[in-house]
Amino acid sequence: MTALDQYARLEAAARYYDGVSAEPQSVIVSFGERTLVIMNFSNHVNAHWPLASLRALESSDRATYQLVPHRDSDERIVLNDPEMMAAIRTVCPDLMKREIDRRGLRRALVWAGGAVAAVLLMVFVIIPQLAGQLAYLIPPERERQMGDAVAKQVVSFLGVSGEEPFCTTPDGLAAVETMRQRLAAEIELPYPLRVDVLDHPLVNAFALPGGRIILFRGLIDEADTPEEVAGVLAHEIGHIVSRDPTVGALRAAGTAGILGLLLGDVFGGAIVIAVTEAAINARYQRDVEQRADETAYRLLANAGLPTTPFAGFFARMGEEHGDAEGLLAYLASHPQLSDRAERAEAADRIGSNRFEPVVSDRDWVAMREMCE
Amino acid sequence: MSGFISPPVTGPATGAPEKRVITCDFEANEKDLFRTALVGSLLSFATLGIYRFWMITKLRRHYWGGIKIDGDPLEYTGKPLEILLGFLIAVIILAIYLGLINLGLTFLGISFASEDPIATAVSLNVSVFATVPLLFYARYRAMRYLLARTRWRGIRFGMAPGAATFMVRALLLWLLTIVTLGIMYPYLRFKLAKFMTDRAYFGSLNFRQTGYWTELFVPWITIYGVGIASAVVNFAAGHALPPLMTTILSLATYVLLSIAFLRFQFIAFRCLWSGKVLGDAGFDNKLDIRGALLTYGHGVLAMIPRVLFAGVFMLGALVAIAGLVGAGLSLTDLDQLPGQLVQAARSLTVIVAALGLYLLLTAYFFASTQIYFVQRILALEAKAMIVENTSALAASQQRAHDEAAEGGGFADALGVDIGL
Repeated sequence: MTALDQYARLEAAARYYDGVSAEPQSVIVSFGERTLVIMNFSNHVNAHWPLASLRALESSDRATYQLVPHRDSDERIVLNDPEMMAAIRTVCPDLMKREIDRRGLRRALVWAGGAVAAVLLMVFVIIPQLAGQLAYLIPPERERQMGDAVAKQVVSFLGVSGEEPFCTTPDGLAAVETMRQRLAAEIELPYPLRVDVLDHPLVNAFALPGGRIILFRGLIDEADTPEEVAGVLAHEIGHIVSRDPTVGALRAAGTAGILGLLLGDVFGGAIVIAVTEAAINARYQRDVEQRADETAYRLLANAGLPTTPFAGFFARMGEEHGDAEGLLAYLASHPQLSDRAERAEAADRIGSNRFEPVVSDRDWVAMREMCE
Repeated sequence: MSGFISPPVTGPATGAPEKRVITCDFEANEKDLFRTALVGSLLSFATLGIYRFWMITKLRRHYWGGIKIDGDPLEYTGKPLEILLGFLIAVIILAIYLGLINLGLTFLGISFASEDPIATAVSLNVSVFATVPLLFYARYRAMRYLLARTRWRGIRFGMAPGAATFMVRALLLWLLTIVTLGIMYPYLRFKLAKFMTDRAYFGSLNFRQTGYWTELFVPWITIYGVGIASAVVNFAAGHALPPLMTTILSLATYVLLSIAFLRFQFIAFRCLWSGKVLGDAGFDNKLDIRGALLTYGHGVLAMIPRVLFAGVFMLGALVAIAGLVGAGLSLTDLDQLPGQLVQAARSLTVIVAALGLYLLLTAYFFASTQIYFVQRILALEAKAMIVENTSALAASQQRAHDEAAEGGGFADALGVDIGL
């Protein structure tokens, strides 16, 4: 006895909707020859619904079925008779089956490729290019103001107290000026190149928009020779020439949030985005730093200075502080110190020949003492 | 199509047809919901968010299928791929739009900013306003998709186009609201609800929003009253009390304001639904505001121990894992803890474990909030819903399928999707 024979006499009351209007009709549902038979109360057969294509939607309390003759139909039968529901469930194994929308899946894959391509194109090609162009269009005076504003914020962030956060002894300033002139002799900028020394123990230096460079006292203290400081200064001048600080700000503003579009959803996406954005920014920054290094080699060579001291500085920093390892290397904003040392060494044009020291011994002493 | 159907059979004719009044019902399994939400969240994490369209569809089917009107449940016919497709198209458009706008506005901000660093900062952030209009546009489209994919008795709901107009109206109304320090918010609420409702359809029958925005005004102003009263109390008592008491006072203020705001939301829901008509049928909602607030409060109380437990669990697990990889954390010397945490963070195992735990707990909380805050409140709202003159709904004729392209995916990309 098939399942169908077993249910041959089963009947249940139900409501029928014809899918044209919302008018309810009372019907009786029973089983026919591989069909569901729908009759009205005068025993007139309204329809046969083939069991093979019959599908059902279960209500969330599991007490009601909405039956459809086939997937795309507008007709409905609403059934709450538990016996009948169980019978239909037994007889129709495909009752709850949902079709896989193959065409939709294909389209989704194509557009997914498009979306990823669009995001990558914007983040890695279009925005950086446009940022590079727009940086040169900013009025020089505005760029200077922006740089000064950033400088103020950095100084207060670092907590440099006192009336004068910068070192201003006249002899020291003159020495710095000599170094600047030696390196930047042939550079053309729409604003003057300004170099300041910040009274702070960090071994660091950075370039700000508008031609402003800030060296840290810690850097001068840590350096063995003035040629090492010259190397760092040349590197920062390289940033200024390429407008790196301004381009970086524009690029970061332009790409902010784009990555978030792809990954941004409520569930922990924020972490993935933050890490990915940090990694992308870091990678971009590493390329920029490398280019600044190469400009530094060129400036040093043009000024008749060796790059070996520059390399030595990196080597020493590498030994003392170590490079970022493992995962954190991806987040490092600068290339590995050991690599920088190697490249700087290879770029040397002077070798063991004599060269004119970048500043006199007296000037060097003045520089070392300018923060007292 | 069917082909076997004979013309509809009508029942015996009565004299004057009585105007039937029915109350809606809501019945849904909490365990099913929890499982769908929990598993769905975990799968969404694993697929970097792609699965969320399937989870959202499942959750909507669950909620829609729990609402019964005159014995027949609502049907959600949306497909996950529809939302996914809309989302992907939105990403492409937004990537280009946002990128260029952000870049352009930042450039303009730098070029024309004054020396004042604050003004500079503001102009650099002005690009945020580029997205606000899009939020409203996306919201309307999302609502349209939800309606277009809802059926009752086989008849489709729908919504007329109008996203662009909606966007303009919403912007103007928000401008008004901000200028009046928020006092005109009930007006905004009513007007936007009316805009959407008047364009909504059940089959061939059109919804209409009736009523007056002033009905929402008093509950809204109450929030301001509570705020001002609390500020006065805080100020007066702030000097006289020890710091612990002032903290408790601030906490109490926050709770009171939240309750006042929630109360407004519930009253707005009840009020707006009571004013809706559909053809010759009408709606009324008898939501018990106190009951709704108590249910919400009960949910908060249920979540607190869960949050505490989760925090302790997470910390304990992290300590254990850190210990396993040899980067021990000594909880006795708390000064050392930050340094040791940084040290532990260098181990990939610890990072992955921490991330995994965080995601697990987030999934758990999402599933819990679905039960306590979404389903239980929805149940109250649905069970309080009354449909007057239900028979008039039978006059509705079937509505054509609305492609409603981008399926709310635009709103999803911007983070303002509704119906979840």
